[in-house]
Amino acid sequence: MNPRLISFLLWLTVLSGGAQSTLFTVQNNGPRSKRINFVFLSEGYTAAQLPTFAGHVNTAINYLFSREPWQRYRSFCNVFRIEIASAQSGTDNGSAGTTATTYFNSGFNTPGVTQLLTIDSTGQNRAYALMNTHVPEYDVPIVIVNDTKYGGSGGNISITSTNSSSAQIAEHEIGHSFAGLADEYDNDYPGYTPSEKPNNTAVTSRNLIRWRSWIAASTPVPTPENGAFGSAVGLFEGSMYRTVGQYRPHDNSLMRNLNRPTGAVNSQQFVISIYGQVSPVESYTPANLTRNVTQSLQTLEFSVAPKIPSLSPPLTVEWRMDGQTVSGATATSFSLLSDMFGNGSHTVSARVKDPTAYVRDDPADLLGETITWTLNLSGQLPETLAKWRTAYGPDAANPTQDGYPNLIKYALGLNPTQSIASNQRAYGGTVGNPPAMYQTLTVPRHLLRSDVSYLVEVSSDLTSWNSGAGHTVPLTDTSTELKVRDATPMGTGRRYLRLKISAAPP
Amino acid sequence: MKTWPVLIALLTLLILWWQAGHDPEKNASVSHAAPARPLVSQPTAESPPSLTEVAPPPAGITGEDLPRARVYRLLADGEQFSLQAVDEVQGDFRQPRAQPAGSGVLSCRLVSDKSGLLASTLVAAPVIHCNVLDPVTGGAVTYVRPAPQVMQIRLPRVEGADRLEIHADASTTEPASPSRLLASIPLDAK
Repeated sequence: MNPRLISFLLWLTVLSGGAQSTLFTVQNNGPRSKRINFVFLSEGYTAAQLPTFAGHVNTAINYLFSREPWQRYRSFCNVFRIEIASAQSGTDNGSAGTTATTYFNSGFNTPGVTQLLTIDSTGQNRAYALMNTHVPEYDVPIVIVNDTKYGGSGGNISITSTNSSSAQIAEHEIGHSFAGLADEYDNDYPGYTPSEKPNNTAVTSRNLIRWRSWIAASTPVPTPENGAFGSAVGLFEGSMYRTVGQYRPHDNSLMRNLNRPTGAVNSQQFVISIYGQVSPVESYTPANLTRNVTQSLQTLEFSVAPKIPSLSPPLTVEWRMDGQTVSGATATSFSLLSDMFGNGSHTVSARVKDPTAYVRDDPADLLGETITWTLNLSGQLPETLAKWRTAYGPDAANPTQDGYPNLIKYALGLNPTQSIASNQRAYGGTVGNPPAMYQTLTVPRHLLRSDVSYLVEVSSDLTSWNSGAGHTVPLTDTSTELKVRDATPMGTGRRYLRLKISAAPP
Repeated sequence: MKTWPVLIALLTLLILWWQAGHDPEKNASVSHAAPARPLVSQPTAESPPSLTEVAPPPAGITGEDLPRARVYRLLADGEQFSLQAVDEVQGDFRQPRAQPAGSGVLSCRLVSDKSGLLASTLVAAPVIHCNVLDPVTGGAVTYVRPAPQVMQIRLPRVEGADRLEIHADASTTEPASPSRLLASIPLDAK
């Protein structure tokens, strides 16, 4: 749309007595309840100047999302901007040195600090009213003031100007308003009361310092500011408006000066703050966390969708059955036969975790989340051989007369009261090419039992059977399939393979 | 009553609506029957700005499905609090996974006329203004008492809320200490 036309229309509207606000989506990465929602508000832009606001917002977010740790978590964030025109351009005591009638009543030098740029309580009320209207799910509100004078302020709403440093200022102020970080300034301000913060402490005992896990054993505590530890985490004296007695973790981070590294402890706090709001799990199925299963041999399927960071490494998944980690089960989906548990109440859980190196201290486990499904199982095949024998009789019994006795059916997870189906039988095959071509035996199984052994043996005379090194080579051995090949190539005479199931000694 | 401003506004909205289909950046929700988020506005310092469009609800969720809540806007001046406005909002809200902890946490409680606790939440107290350093001079500045700040508290809509209590909550500090009542703000029953 023609910017001039927009400006003209907005100007007409302002003239007609009501300030109009317009919401724009700058970056939409998902539902607001599952994202950190940044909201930028325009201040000191006349209707004619409003088209420049989008560029100022883009500059701020492009800078922020180029920085650690936001680079990685850009996909966790939505960005909106709310455009509303002011009657006049700029701000009070701005670069023009005059006053300006603006929507949020912003001004420099209030209350008495040259670069302190704030909006008054009327302006704050207006900002909240706008966000309640457009983005009541806001997490990080930022007002950009259309004046090139250097300055800004923190607080519940971050304020920054359009100075060339505004993007850096916004990043610094977000450190306050979103992550609860302290200024790491060591200017002494009598009357100011420091407090314990994620990046500020009065504690000097190494073992009690909040960020001790980041301090290398070789780093002295307190840490000298002689440049030798400029990029290290330590305990540097002077922080939170105190020259002495208060300590910061970084010699010179973004919470102390602009254009500086974020700092490991500050990065950690940003990530902790993100996960304090949104889960690492985006969704999961089935949505119902309780499932009643009354028939045996049911395939139960589960899945989780971890959030996907903008940068690697991806989040990890680990599956557990009744609290026990399932080896090798790290995919986003997981399936099992209901009979693997036997009857009763059991659990399947998926643990999703962000393995990021940004965080070392996460006592509340915010970077992880476990989804647990409770299964109420009945009518299942017995889960142990002892229970199986009690239910169905001796191992050699074969009530269906199909040639597969009870023990074999137990080992393969088959129903002993039903004849074996053709696709449940073990079958032979070949692998490789002459002269290295071998016979194989493939055993499909529904369950991998722990109280029986599965052994594929080979023979050349049906009398002497062997297994293991020099005789057989396992190809697959999973819960659903056992596949083994003969170690002797074909063409050397008759060769036979068989599956031997044995009950494990009690 | 003057009619020309209304006519101009209507004309403006009509043209904006027509033009919106040609602007890929703008939310495509201009003509959506999206929920009117500000449902009620009680004693407010001023009328909210007129609405030209609202954000679309999340995919798969209709506007009417979105949860509703009530936000209490307070002016915090040190440890003194005064009610500025009460808004009803509707949105795709989440439950935070972590509560604010440490010093400067406020426990905000909706209480019945018989002092029954109806709803509560923990919020971080408004933080002190950050005095941005001057990157050129190093920026030694004079500390000044921060000006009053506005804060918002979102709580569930509950029947029978008689007052909003603000407590300084020190239960998450080390060592923990009892909370201290800072303000008890009567609420309009309507």
